[in-house]
Amino acid sequence: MPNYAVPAHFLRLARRLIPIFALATALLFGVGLYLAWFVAPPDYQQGETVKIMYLHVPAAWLALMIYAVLTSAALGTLVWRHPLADAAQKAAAGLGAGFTFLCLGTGSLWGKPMWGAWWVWDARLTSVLLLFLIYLGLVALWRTIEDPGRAARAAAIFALAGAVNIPVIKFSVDWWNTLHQPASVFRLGGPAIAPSMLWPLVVMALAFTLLFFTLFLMAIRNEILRRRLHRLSIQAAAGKEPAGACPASTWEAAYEP
Amino acid sequence: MSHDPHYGYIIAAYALAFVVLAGMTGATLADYVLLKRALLPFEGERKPQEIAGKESGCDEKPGGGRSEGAG
Repeated sequence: MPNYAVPAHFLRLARRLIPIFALATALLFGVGLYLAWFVAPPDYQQGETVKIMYLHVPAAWLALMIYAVLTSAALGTLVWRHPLADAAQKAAAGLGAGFTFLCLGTGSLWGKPMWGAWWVWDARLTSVLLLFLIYLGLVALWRTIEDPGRAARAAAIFALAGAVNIPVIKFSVDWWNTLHQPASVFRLGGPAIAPSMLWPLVVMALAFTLLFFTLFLMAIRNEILRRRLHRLSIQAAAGKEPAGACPASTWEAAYEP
Repeated sequence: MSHDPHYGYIIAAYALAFVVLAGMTGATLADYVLLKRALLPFEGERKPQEIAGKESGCDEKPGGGRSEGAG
């Protein structure tokens, strides 16, 4: 069985998986949007504004799930020092920032008509804003430190420290009196929302999740190509022949006179 | 649906989602196209070395840059 942690094998796997994931994402978005707009009934209190929930809730779940993926990659960097874990960390940071921004933006657009305010300094909202700032901090770290190895280690330590915020986000609605509602899907006793609204939510959540994994694979592939380009450029600038996909030492050994 | 007093907020939320998700997808795709274009000059010169590399088994090595700690 091929080891998919080897970048060359990963590239082959990504080439096969990306079109399949992209197609499945498009199909799920088509079904999810149809259910959300034409099948799901209006809420008895929120009216049609509940349609914003079909974007807001999946984006919020993704914001947390991506951070869990990022934390696992950070452990891969610090414990096994694997370059693919570095690439996964870097890819997840930007995507996490995007989904968290979407969560905050759609939440704000729901909050204005429902709560009468674009923003409140509620524990849930504030902790998610902190998550967004952590993601931005990670993106900034990757862009600031030029050496990829050092950037990966610094980002991994920062990511692990920031992981403290994840349980705070999850349990903020239980620990404090918040304006934000408590969990209504993942809770003891089962979901508290009607199946006619739950199904569109589940399909949209699957669509968001598959979109993330499609973009994640693409972003990791980009990072591998960026490192290959970096290595080849340095070798070309040093007046050597480019080494292709092989580590420089192996290539040099193969071409020793 | 369009008679809902909050119709504007709903449309704005879906428009924001479209912009953010399409933006992330577009940026990732554009990055890929630029990287492939930048790698193109090296591709032609790489072929003989790549063959030699496969013969020497370098393709099976974990990692590209930090193999000292990989695995």
